[in-house]
Amino acid sequence: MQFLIVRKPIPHGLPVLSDLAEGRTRLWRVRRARPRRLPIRMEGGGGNCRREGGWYTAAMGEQISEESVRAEVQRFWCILSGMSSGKLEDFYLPTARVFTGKARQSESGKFIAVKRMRHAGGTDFESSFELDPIEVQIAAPDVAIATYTYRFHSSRKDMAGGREQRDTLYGRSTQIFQRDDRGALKIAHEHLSSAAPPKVEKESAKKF
Amino acid sequence: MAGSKTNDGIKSSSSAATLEANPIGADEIRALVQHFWNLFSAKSMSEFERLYAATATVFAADARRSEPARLMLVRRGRELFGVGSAVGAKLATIDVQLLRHDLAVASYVFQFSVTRILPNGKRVRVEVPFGRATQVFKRDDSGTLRIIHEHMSSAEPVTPEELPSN
Repeated sequence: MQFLIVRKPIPHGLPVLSDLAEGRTRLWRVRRARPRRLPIRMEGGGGNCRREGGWYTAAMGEQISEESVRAEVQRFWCILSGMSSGKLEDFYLPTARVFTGKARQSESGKFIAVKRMRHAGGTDFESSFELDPIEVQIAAPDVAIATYTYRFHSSRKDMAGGREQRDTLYGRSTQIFQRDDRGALKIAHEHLSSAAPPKVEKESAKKF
Repeated sequence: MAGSKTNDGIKSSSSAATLEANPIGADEIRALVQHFWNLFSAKSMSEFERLYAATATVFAADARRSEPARLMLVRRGRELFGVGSAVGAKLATIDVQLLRHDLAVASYVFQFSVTRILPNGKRVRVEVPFGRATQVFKRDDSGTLRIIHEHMSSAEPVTPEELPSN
């Protein structure tokens, strides 16, 4: 059997392998303040998004491991929350379909990724997340299904100068990963939902 | 199936060859999704159960976490397949992603209406105008397509409506 070895530099901010091995039992929580150049604030186990460099290899004929899927899920949330740099759209296959939290139809994964990054890229946006243990089902040598629950907290300034805090306390995620033709794990399908509506609190602007 | 009465090695290799020669088609998946809802509406529990693989996992629409399909089936059987309950669904277009010759993902939105009897005897109706479903199908060794993962959700919060007891 022939293997194509693909070597890629890991961008700064990815979890390191020693973190990933403990993936089933740890919670991740990170917090980021905009603009990007400000120092990153973290909470709890935010060190899993810490800035460390490295290399990894992906072999095309190699079966997906549970650890590699967990690592991708964590990397996804680190980037979504702004804790790590990277492009969210790179996570998706060109044909990926996504159900976001309250969409009435599925949409293109790449399109949703761009929309999310634009939404999270606004000024004075803060977010944090916590992931529960990630169950990984290896459906085929090159396909795996990750299922887990999560909490996502975000806050941003509204037009009136106040703040809106949104807490998704019962988030549920299915992400189906498939190796692309270069051997990299990509999301082929994603379904995010919430078992209860997010809690939204609005705080008026302070008057002096 | 060819090779099924020989040793395991021969069985698995010839099964794989047979399965590869019979790749999943998008229309086959759409028909199976429609069959799923027909069985659900008709409350055909035994056939309905057989649509799921033994190791399948499920996010039910109102559950806070995923669970084995066999647990969900026990609950669904008790709550939705019993006397006095009724289920109806209207499906929109079913998107099918063919990931491999033996693996496909169906995703679609649907309108869902269910009437059921609560343990306290009250009848309630739940209308889900914007249900969303993801179902992952895999062909097993016998060539049968089964659900290995399912995620159901609603785009909007739903509130059960209490019905007169008679």
